[in-house]
Amino acid sequence: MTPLPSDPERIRLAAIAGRVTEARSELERLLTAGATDQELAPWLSAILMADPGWLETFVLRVPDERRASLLHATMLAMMELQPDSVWNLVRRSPSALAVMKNPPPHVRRDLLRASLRSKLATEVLFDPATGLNNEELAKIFANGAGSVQGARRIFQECAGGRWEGEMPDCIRAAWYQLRDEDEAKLRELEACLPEAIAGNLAKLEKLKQSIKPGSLISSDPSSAELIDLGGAGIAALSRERTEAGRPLPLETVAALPEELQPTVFNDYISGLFPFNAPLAERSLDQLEGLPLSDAIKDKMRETAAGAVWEDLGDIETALSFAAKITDEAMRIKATTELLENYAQTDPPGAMERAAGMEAGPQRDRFEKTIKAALP
Amino acid sequence: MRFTTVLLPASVFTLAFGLSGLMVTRTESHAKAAPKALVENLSTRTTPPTEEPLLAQVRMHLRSGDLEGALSLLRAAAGRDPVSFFNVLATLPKISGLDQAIQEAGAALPWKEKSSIDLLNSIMAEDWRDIALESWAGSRVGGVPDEEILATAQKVRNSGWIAGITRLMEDAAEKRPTEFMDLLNRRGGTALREAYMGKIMAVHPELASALYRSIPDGSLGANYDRAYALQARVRMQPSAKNLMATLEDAPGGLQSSFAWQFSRIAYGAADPAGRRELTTAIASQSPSARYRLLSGALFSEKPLPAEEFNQALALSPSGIQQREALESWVKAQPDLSPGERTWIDALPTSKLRSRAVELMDQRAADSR
Repeated sequence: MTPLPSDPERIRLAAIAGRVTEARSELERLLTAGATDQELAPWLSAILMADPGWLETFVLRVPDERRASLLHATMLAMMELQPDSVWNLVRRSPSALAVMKNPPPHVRRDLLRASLRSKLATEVLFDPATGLNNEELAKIFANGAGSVQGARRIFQECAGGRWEGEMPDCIRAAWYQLRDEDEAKLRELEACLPEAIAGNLAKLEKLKQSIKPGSLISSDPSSAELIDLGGAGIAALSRERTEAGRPLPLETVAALPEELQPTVFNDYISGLFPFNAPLAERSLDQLEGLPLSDAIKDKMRETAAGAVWEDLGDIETALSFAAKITDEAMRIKATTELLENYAQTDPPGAMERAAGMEAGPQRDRFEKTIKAALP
Repeated sequence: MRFTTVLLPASVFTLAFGLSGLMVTRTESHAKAAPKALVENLSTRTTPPTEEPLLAQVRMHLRSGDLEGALSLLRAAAGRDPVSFFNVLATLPKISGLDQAIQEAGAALPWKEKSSIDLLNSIMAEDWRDIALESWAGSRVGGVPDEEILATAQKVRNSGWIAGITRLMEDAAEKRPTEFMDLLNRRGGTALREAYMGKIMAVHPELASALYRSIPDGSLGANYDRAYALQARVRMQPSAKNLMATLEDAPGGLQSSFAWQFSRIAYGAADPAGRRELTTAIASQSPSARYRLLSGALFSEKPLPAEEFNQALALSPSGIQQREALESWVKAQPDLSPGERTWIDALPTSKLRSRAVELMDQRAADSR
């Protein structure tokens, strides 16, 4: 063989392409010279991409106390180059497998997220020889299978009865992916799922259809249709519609069973600011006639008051919303906070307002705050 | 009280299309036909025959250290056999010198095919992937309907923010600005309208206001995009005039939380002459508007020079704002020496001068 030029990049590329001799010598040299993990990783990863089986031999040369960190650095480097290579490594190397099963926190996120790109991820991880239990697997894939092949595999495993009981997040994630990338396969696999899980997925499908990405929202769901979506679905739909400037009609939401109401009402009003303030105002006008608890109604009024002031700088409307709060302590607190904030940001305007107020402790306190806020 | 919505700089966000971005953290997803390690290839022919020659040849060159030879081969193959080209690319770490070849190969990949999408998804190096995608989709502009380009490009996951549709947006902004905005409004989704507004500001800033106002209720992601489209307008043209014009369109106008956020952007981007213009424009506003607009000036990332700072400070209607601004300004200048106090005399009020003395005395005490 003709000798390689001594350029590190070429030696590493040669290794990746299958000529590992020179890279190995360089790795040995560096190891002996006391190089850091970051210096060793590019070399080791290049060699292991061509010859993953060599790791178990090499690792014996590395002192115990630094094996783990060198492995982490190397596997992360391989991840950048080619995620499949990491799985090939995990397949052949007990040391690499140990890292993949239980990565330390500081490598966990990067290692798993990137390595899931490879469709080999599910192949290796679901292999019984890898020794992961159902819970561990569900956790690894909780944010998605990475590849569409992985998503399919997860569904297959689910259809085979791997996860019973509550639907794990990994199913939801895989569902979204397959629906986007391989709907035909999704429908095929959905038919084989345990009933409870199929039911949950049916809710997701309804949710997706209620939103209809790609076109303007043109209709409103009935209460019955909402109930079909379940709590999480209602919350998600509500958020999407509010962000679209076409929130769920308040009277429809108010007609929901009590246990489903909080999923919506925590954010309903605040999401209408600043771009749909007139809708918010109309909502507050409607409140009295709606079958909601006083606590919910007051919270909405309080939220609206704060939002109108902070987002729109409109003190008069903010105070008028606060005035509608029925709980006295809450009303006083909201009003006082608004006035204080107003005094601190616009003393001249606040001064004018104070002049028009009824004499009493609130006006006195207000004037005091204004004076303290003057330049 | 709730917290006001604060807009983050655009670069923080990745593109989220439709509902699937809402419930699931978008993960890196690269399905690909993986050429196995060389050691395995020798024993089991798992790669399709058409791929092997190029891959094998490239590897042969790399094994003799002949990087140039490998690159030449790849460049020659790019336009002729883009599939093999990208399959080989998927096995390589990022090496320089292939950008043009990637562009060629991208344009040569069959349009809309699932196999093309899978191939693009398999490119590991992010900027390579973006180049390929931009070429693949961008080369269709004008020949294929805009919506088709949009929908197809977005199937390549984990690409850069507007990779694949940059050329499309630029072309549309120039030649059919309103029509394209209508398309984006109908399709909904977040972040695209912000990017598009940026393109509009570059070629047709006079349309920015009308296009912003065209975002309708009922369009998915409308409120998110409204906020960021406004921000894009100021970011692209941070002049006093444009700041005021943009705020006119923003709900709440000069009294809104956008006022201080956008003022901050404008002050951050302006040169001294620009800042003077901004401060002059602020001077003639109402107290409540001045309060908000000045927040942008007085609490900017980089502390204003003393004279400008004093001018802005003098315009504030609130002693509390002035005091907080002073404290923040001093804190942001750890090199401001307690021995050098002439700047204190120029402060606009006695309250501020006293406070400044306190702060400098404290600094002197701390350094002993």
